[in-house]
Order: sequence, then C-alpha cells, then structure tokens
Amino acid sequence: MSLAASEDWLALLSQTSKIARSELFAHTVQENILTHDVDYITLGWTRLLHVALDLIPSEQMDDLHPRYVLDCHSYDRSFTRDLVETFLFPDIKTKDPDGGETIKPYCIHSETRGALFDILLKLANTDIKRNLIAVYISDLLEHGISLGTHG
Amino acid sequence: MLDVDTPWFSNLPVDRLLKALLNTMQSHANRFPYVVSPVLNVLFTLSTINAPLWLEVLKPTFALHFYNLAIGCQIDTVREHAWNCLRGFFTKCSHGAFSPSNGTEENGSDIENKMDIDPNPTGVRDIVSFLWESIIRCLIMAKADIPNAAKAFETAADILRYIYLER
Repeated sequence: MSLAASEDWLALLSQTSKIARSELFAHTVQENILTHDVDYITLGWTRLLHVALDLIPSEQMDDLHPRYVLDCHSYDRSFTRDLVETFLFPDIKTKDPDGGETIKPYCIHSETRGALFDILLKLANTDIKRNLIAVYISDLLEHGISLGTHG
Repeated sequence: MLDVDTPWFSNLPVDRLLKALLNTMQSHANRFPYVVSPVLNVLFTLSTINAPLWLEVLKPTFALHFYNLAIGCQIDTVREHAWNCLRGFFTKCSHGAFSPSNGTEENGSDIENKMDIDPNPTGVRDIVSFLWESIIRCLIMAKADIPNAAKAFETAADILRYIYLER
C-alpha cells in the first residue's frame, strides 16, 4: 500500500476505523464500581477511532459512518446510537433467561466516558448533522412557542 | 582476499541474525529490560540491508513476539522500551517512505551513512505497512492483557497521526 496516495490514506483510515468499531463492540466493558481500573481496551479503541475520525475529511465522514435517522426502527440503528446505548446510557435492567435481572457492564469511569463523549461530538460535527441539529432546534423552538401561546 | 568493493554489511548472515534476535526477544528480552532496546534496534536496523528478506523472516512471527514484549510482559519498563523503539523505527521509516525524495536523496554520503536510509522506497513502504499491521494485530490481541494495554493504544494513536503529518 502506498500511503502517500490520498485514496490509500483514506482506505487506511477507513480500515482502521472499521477495525476499531468492530473491536469496540466485540469487547465486553471491564469497568465496575468496585475498582478504579480503567478498561484500556474500550478507552484505547475509542481514542484510536477518534484519531481516525479526526483525520478523515469531514465531507467523507458521513459515508464512513451510518447516518442518524429519526425513526426508531431496527434498521435505523446508527453507530452514534449504539455508542450511547452500549457504553454510556444502557438499559441497565436486562432480564436474564432465569427471570432475574442482570446489570449489563458499561463505562463508568470518567476517562472512558469522556473519550466516548468526544467521539459523539466529533460524529455530530459534519455539515449534514449540523443542519439536522439546527432543524431539531428550530422545531423545538416553534413547538415551545406554540405551547407558550396556547398554554 | 578482502573485497573492498563489496560493502561489509552485504556479507552479514541477515537471515540467521534475524532468527537469533527473534529468539532473544522471546527468551531474554521479556525478563531483562536493558536488553529490549538493543535487541529491537539491531533487529530494525537489519531491515536496511535487505528489506524483502527482513519482511519474509519477520512476517510470520514478529507480531506475536512483539506482543509478548510490548503488552504481554508484566514489567512496565520492558513494555515502555518496546513501544518507544517501535515508534522510533516507524518514524524513521515513514520519513523515508513519504519524504519528497522518497528516500533516494543522494548527498555524497559514504556507505555507513547509506545504512541509515533505505535506498529502496518501495521496500520502506512495505515495512511501514507491515509495522502498522503488526501494531493492529497487537491491539486486537491486547484484550488478554487489559491493564498493560494503555501504552499500546497511545503509541498507535500517535503513529496514526504521524503518518498523516508525514504523507
């Protein structure tokens, strides 16, 4: 691979990003309230992914990562949403086969959570997503005004 | 009779040296921190003599041997030295592979100086790719040694940024 060529460089970033995502989700978080041990696998892949996202031109980031879609159907699941639901704010109460409740491990230490939030901010920082956020905010404001007027 | 036209390093038994160094990585370096840097530095320097042979010998086992030193080893200084050496070598190779002269700059240097810069840019780029693949393989294996993995990911992130700056 000649990394000097732009397309090869993008291929390397894309490949690194894919490996990082895949390894991140394949790994079970090893953080708990009993110790201060940071899960360096989750933290490491998150940071490596962040570097890859940093170096990918912003106009190409949406092509490399699934876009966020409003509808809540299974096919709409996005990387952003998976990050939030798996590592930051999971559904803590999960029924196990025996009918009891288990707590799914997720990131609790500030170092890991900070790195994950950095990724979320990075993923939101593209033209398409900035526009999407602007539309949401406009809708919210309009809704708020109409509530205020009629309420 | 001494053949003065043939550089001295072309007579080195590179193949055997590489295998001996890989054995040393496996048997001694992970117990003695002061051995790590010299072993890795000699191992990496041998790539400048014959890059294709170097790659052929190292490809099957280097990642695993390096993993045992750089992540699997319980001695902090061993891991630290291992990653610092790899980062140093990667930096040097990247500079040769992506510099405008593609590592072929002629400045009238003597043979000893030429050993510092691989004259074959394709060979250097192959080494860069191989090193990056080895790093990724180590990171993937690191889930078996989570407490020791911090330096590995930190170095990988630094190297990825460095490639971007050098290309």
